[in-house]
Amino acid sequence: MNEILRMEHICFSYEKNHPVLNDISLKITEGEKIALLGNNGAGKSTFFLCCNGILKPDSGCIYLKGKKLTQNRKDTFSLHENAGLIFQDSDHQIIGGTVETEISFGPMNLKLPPYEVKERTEKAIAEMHLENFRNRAPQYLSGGEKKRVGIAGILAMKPKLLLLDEPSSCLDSANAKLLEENLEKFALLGFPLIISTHDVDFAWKWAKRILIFHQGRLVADDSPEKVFARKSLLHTCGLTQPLLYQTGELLGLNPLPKTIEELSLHISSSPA
Amino acid sequence: MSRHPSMDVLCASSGLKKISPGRKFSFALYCMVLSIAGKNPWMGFFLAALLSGITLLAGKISLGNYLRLLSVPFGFLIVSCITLLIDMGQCGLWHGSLLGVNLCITKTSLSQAILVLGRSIGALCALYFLSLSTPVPEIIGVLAKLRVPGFFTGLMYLIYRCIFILFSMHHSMKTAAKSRMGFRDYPTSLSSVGKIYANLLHRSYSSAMEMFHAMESRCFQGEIAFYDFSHYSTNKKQKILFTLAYVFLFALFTLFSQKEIL
Repeated sequence: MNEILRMEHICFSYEKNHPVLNDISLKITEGEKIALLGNNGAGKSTFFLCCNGILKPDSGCIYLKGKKLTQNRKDTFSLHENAGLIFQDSDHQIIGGTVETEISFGPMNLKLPPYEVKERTEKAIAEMHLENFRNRAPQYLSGGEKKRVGIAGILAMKPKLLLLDEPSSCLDSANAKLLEENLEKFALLGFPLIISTHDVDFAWKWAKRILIFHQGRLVADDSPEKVFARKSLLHTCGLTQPLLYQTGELLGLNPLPKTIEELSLHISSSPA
Repeated sequence: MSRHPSMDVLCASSGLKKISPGRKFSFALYCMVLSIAGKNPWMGFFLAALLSGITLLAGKISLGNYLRLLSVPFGFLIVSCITLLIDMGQCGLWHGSLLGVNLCITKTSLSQAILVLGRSIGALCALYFLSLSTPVPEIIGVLAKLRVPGFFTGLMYLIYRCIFILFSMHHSMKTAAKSRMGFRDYPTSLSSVGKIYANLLHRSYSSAMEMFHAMESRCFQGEIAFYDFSHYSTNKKQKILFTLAYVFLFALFTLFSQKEIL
């Protein structure tokens, strides 16, 4: 798999002697589905801001598609463009007067020719099913619709990696399901996805790789099966095992079920 | 939130929203200039009637909402006109005394008050015609096309967007305070209002930071630019109608300028 982003020994602090990110090293390759877990204040959002180039690390190196980046303007822009960041609160991300102008903001900043800005905007609108809202003012959209506008705004920039900061917070179940479907679609297109979440059940079901941040350190980076087997680590980080993981363990199932459908299939196929 | 629809909501449902914002902007500006430049108040009164008619009938804004929105500036206008109308002294069309002070209305003060009223009400209705038919981002778009510096139009976009975020924050804080009996009596209300505004200031600062980060993450380079998705047809009928209106209003302006005020 092609490497998209690599971080080596990244450290960052807002105040001296209070590191928010401490010696973070990881590699993200094409098509990966990564869930980022950790308590509030563990450094998840700061990590995303560093990945996107908004915050500049105090030390360490960032590589984008194998190329070592410096902290100059060109490289920072390259990170902004390639590591698309979808913010937790869509209200802070949306600045346009209508949905379509909002989506055109990123491509316009890339100084693309007008026909390409239009083409990218139309494509992002279609991908996020926003055709009926294109002329609507963002302040009159629901939370789920705003989230879709935020994602469309990033997709229009054609990033190589998507970073989603707690995307399902403030979403009702219908919109959360729609978001999951979209994430699945992006994964099939080969986008590496990193999702910051508190929902261990979602992480267990969706992710192929789990990262756990604790007090600014990356304390776990492995497959969901291996990470959720480490009970003491989960306890230290204030996390619990997913419900389906626990159920599967109690029933002695192998492999452990990731969805309710898998669990019921196991139960129905097991001898009475 | 208020039970009454805001100007923004009324504008979004206006029957005039399909007309090019540039055309509405220039027409409103033209009416404003004619109203203010007129030496006769009747031009202003005529424009007020005409523009109110367009806003109510073609724009499909209800009379109740229109009068409600107009009531605040109209109230200020009436107070201003009363101060112009009343002079000190004992001669003129009317005179009386209030708390030992002699007050009067002269022919000059009356014509001056009516002139100011006519001019202001015409300009006010022109402004309401524009505001109730053209969403703010479209007006800013017109200003950008008129080469208003990007810094100002960018600032306008952000202020407009932040108003709604602040309103929503204020609404949730007020509801939370109400639910904890924060408005049970006058002193508690004063204290709650103070706390709400202090918190609002703090929250708006952190929101501004987040907003800036979100803009930076999309390669913001100091100037806010959006693609111009104009969906307005250049209708020939509309063009003729606007041209006729310009000519008719100018003729009327010339006619009114030759007449005495009173």
